[in-house]
Amino acid sequence: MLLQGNEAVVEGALRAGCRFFAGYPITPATEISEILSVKLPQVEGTFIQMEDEIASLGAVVGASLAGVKSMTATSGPGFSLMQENLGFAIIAEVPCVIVNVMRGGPSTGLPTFPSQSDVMQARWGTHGDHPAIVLSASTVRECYDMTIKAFNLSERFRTPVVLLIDEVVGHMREKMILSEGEEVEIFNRVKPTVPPEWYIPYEDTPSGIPAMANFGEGYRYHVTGLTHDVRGFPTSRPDEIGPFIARLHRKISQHFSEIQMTEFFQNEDAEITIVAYGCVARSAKRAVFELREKGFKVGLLKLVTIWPFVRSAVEKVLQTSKILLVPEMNMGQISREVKRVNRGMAKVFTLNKVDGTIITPEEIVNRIMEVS
Amino acid sequence: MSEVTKLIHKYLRHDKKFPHVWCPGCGIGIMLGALIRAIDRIGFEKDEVVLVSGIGCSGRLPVYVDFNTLHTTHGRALTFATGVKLANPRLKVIVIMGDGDAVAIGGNHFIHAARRNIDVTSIILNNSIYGMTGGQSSPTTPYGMKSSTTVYSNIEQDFKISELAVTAGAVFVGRGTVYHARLLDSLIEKAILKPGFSMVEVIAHCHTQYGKQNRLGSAVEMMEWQRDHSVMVEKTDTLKPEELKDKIVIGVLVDKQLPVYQDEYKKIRERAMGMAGR
Amino acid sequence: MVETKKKRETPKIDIYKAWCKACGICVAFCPTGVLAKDEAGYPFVKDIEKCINCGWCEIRCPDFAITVEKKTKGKRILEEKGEAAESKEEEISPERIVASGQ
Repeated sequence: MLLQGNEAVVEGALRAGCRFFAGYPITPATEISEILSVKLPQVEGTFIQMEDEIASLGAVVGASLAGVKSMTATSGPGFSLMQENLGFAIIAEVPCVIVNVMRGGPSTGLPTFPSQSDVMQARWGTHGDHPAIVLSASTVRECYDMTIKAFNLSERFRTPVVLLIDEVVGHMREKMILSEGEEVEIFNRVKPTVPPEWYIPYEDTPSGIPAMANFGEGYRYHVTGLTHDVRGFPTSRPDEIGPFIARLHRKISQHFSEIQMTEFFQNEDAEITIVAYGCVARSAKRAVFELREKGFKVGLLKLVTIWPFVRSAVEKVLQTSKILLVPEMNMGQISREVKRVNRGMAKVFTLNKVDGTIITPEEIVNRIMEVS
Repeated sequence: MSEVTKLIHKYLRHDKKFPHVWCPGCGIGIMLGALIRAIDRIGFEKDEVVLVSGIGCSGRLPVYVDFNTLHTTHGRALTFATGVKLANPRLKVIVIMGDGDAVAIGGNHFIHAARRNIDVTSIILNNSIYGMTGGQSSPTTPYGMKSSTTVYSNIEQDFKISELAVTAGAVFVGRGTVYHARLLDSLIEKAILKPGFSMVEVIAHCHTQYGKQNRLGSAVEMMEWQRDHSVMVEKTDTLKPEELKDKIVIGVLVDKQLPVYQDEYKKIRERAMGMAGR
Repeated sequence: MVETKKKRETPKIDIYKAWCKACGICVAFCPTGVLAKDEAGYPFVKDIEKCINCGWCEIRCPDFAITVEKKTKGKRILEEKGEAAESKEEEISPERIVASGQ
């Protein structure tokens, strides 16, 4: 099958069980809306075009509370508008998926050119102290797989999951093999099994993830964006707020191994490691081949999970490598994290490009030859 | 047991959350009473009702009611309600908003929900002020009145919420005051039973903020004002324009038929499935 | 017995002090002066004999703190005839609202 990255997102979403989409037209994510407007009603799902991105994510969160797997797709400016309800989904622990096909910014920026400048917005865009799960994709196949993964993680951890896609990946056509009988792991939210009068909607469980009742299933409870007690009612008691916010973080941090995904390439003997994600990881892979031909011992660490930051994987390459290069299409959003983990173990170099063009293998090769 | 006691026990989270947070004499409590009486008359199961609200004094209402309750972000209640309703059309979705919620920060959502004719009922408590944040002017603060942010005088014109809803295409628009609480029961009941986007504007007093800053007196005096300045819509024909000038027209302002979003979407699904099958 | 049902009985008004915030609405709008305020501003039943069982104190109480237990013939008939009669009884015509309001 020859598919565009955005089309693969749609296929992944439908495979994961997504049956509700609300969105607002925006380049370069519009194809996701358009295709879902055709496909969702075919599977008894619902597509609605809302009046803006704030409304889109509001509707998505509402639909998820009513028990339907839901998503939206947007680009930088729309993602900015979604930050408000993204925070709501985090504090009220409502699963949903937000695909951000990134463009250059700030503001309207570069609508039709690639960029990776929303890495930090995806982490810290909404106000308050909160955890975040953010994935990326560098191939069309990964667009499919990571959309499914995003739904699984959001249902598993009761939290919104953001999928960052570079414009070139979203619009790139690539062969993707999807076999009919392919086994795909699908995770559905855990529902309460206790009688309604025993149900504690925001109970602190060992996993940190409380069971989630859908509206209309007999478990009447209160959902609020205010800090709340275990029953969901607003609270301003320090002895309730502290443990609640701590649990929101803990439910993610104690499951890092389930969330953090990376790919190592030619790392066994690598003295130089490129740390890259999205479309840059493709150029980096090519650069590894070229540099190896020239006799450089170069490897690649590809980040698939962007947040929570894959500290242990970076630490692993830091033990063998003398030099790390972090090429990215922003002014250095992930390199900052790599430097934070580094603590003097290796030399960390950056390669930043923000002119709307992709980072080519040659640029990576040249940069490595320059710094090594 | 009296009728109201039965209603309190049935619909309110009476053992957890009362007495409520609102000021002595606040109209929101009166509106809450009208709401539960209307729902009781209709006879909905509590499990099938979803009560959604935004932020502000009115936003606190759902916490007191034993339904599926959802306290959303400021102005966005209708967007969440849209998602809930479309995801599970069997749910009866009622949205409580204040004037700031509905026609300031959420004005865009309000007109579009009305235009789409999503089958939700909005009840908008209009007290002409931002009460919870300390009495700042809202889009319904009348010209010439005072607030914490218009201490000299409000130089803006005010929104007429019901008229806005009519223009935006709401199929049912009703207006009442908290003084005329029994009328509210019937307006809310009719609105909930109406398929499509229905809206009830509830004129209420905020004596704590709006009343105090404009020397309008106590809750009782402001309710007397509601009593003296309200005219049933049926009577407006007999009154001259000058007699209607400073009057609140109450009653059912619009009751019409338009295709309901979910019903139309069902047809889209059938078409889509037919095309996919071919 | 038909005779006893027709006889008017006094309603019973209860004020739930724990929820009452002494706003004065029930006292101000009682059409017959059944209720009055005590020194602290809280309502009390001054003259139950005057109660015409209109229920407005209950309906306008923002705090769900006042209840009127109806014991008149209307109530008895309701109980006998069931729901059909009840809805008819409770239906308020717009004219009546204006009348009570102006």
